Amino acid sequence: MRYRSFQCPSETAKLRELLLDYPAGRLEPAVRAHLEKHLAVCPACRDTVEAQTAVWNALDAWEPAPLSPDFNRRLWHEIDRVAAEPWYKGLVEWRPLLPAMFVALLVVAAGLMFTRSHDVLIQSAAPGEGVTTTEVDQAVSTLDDLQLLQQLDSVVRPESDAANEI
Amino acid sequence: MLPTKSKVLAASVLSGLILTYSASAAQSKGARSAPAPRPRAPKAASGKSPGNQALERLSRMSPAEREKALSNLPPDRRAQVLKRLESYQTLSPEARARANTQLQRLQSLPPKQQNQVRGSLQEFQNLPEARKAAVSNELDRLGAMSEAQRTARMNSPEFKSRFSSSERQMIGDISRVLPPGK
Amino acid sequence: MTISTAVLDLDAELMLRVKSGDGESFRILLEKHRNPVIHFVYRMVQDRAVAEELAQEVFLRVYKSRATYEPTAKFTTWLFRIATHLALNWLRDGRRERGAQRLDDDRGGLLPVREYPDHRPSVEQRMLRDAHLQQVRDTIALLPEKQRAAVLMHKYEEMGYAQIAQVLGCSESAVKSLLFRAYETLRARLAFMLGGGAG
Repeated sequence: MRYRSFQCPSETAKLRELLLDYPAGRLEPAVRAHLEKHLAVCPACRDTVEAQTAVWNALDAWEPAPLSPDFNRRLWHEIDRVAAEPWYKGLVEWRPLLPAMFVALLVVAAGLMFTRSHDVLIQSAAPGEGVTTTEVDQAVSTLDDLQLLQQLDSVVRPESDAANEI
Repeated sequence: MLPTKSKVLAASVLSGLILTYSASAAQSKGARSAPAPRPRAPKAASGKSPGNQALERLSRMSPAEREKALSNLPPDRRAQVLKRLESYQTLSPEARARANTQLQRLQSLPPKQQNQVRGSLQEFQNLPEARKAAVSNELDRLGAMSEAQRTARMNSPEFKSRFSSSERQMIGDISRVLPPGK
Repeated sequence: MTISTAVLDLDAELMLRVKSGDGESFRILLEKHRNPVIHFVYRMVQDRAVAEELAQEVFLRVYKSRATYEPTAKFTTWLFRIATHLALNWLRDGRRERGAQRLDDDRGGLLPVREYPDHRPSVEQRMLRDAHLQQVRDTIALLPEKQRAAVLMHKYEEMGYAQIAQVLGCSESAVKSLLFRAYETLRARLAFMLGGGAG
């Protein structure tokens, strides 16, 4: 990609990925240098890069759970079982079904294409009716906060009680 | 394994099911693509934080709608959220008003301070009983004070001698969510 | 020859050997790709036991497909296409309900995580870190499934846009759009814990 006249990535859809690739350390040195020069003078891009870097680092915190010690043993057991069968066995078993499966596959593919293409359009839409995922997230965080604050109810008396005591 | 006739029958049933699925998927797509207009909660209406408004909205949903809205959460987390929502809904009006006031104060703080308060609340939860009682009494006392009185109290030698530096930090953080007394 | 081409050749070559009956090559492929597949599926479904079941199915399918394997794409693209397909199916079938009881030990099984700079005492740091980690998990879980898969492959598997597009079966520009929307959501939702700089 050539960047002879460097346009602002936040304003140019084609260059937006630079703002994702920069914190990931996936830019070529020349492109990186161009972007860094731009970041020095563009607060919008700088904010995005800073926020993206923070997200990138936060995601680093999520380590996966360790693997069960018997994972390989279970898998090899299954593979041995499959390997013991002749490879054509599965095909022969289901041969009468192949035409029906082919038709079914076409129907499913059409159905999936139909629904998936719509899903792409509603990525940020709500999992529930009329509520966005951001709102759900806010509600969940608020419940977490309320849970933390709940303990204060038994600690801090309502003002009326305190006033009566005085 | 199934005999051939059974397999053909199974194939027919399978195709029928798939066609039914496709039809219902198409139908639901049609329904989803034209959602009924629904009023969005105005920003910070009636002094409530967006989080509080979102919570009220979740609270007003039917159980089925709520399940759907939370469907992307892992199951145990979803169960936890529903349980917490139920507790919130069963609060008395006074307790709910108090909780909302504290929530409003917490969520109106700058993000870093919010995190400090959350950390302090978690820390408070885990204090040994004796220290928890001492900190509770102090918070109760501070809760009845004005902002100026609180500042004076937290700068007093008595306060400093009673609490460790982390406890003082904790009390200072938590007192931010307590509305000042009159 | 680029590194990725070399990797393509090696993995594909191993798979072709599996095709010709070399079990040892499958063992090498399994050892090499087992953890990335399990980690990806785990982050998709957020259930360790289910992730392992699905990962077993992924490798079993690879093994079963050995006879018909043709190296038309990078091996990992094919592998992750299977993994993504199984994970998305599981999520969409609502089968995660079955794993509800298994999640409890999941939290305890997490490895130590990176600490955030904080001047507060270590007890608090630990609690905050746990809360942050929970927030990260929840935020990822709330992403639409395709966005989630794209982010996980981009972030943790270090895949490029073209490869993610091949795995998800969409165009490269669609992947960029998915990723941009997903990261935008993450920046907004995690802003409060990232010190307010995000969003």
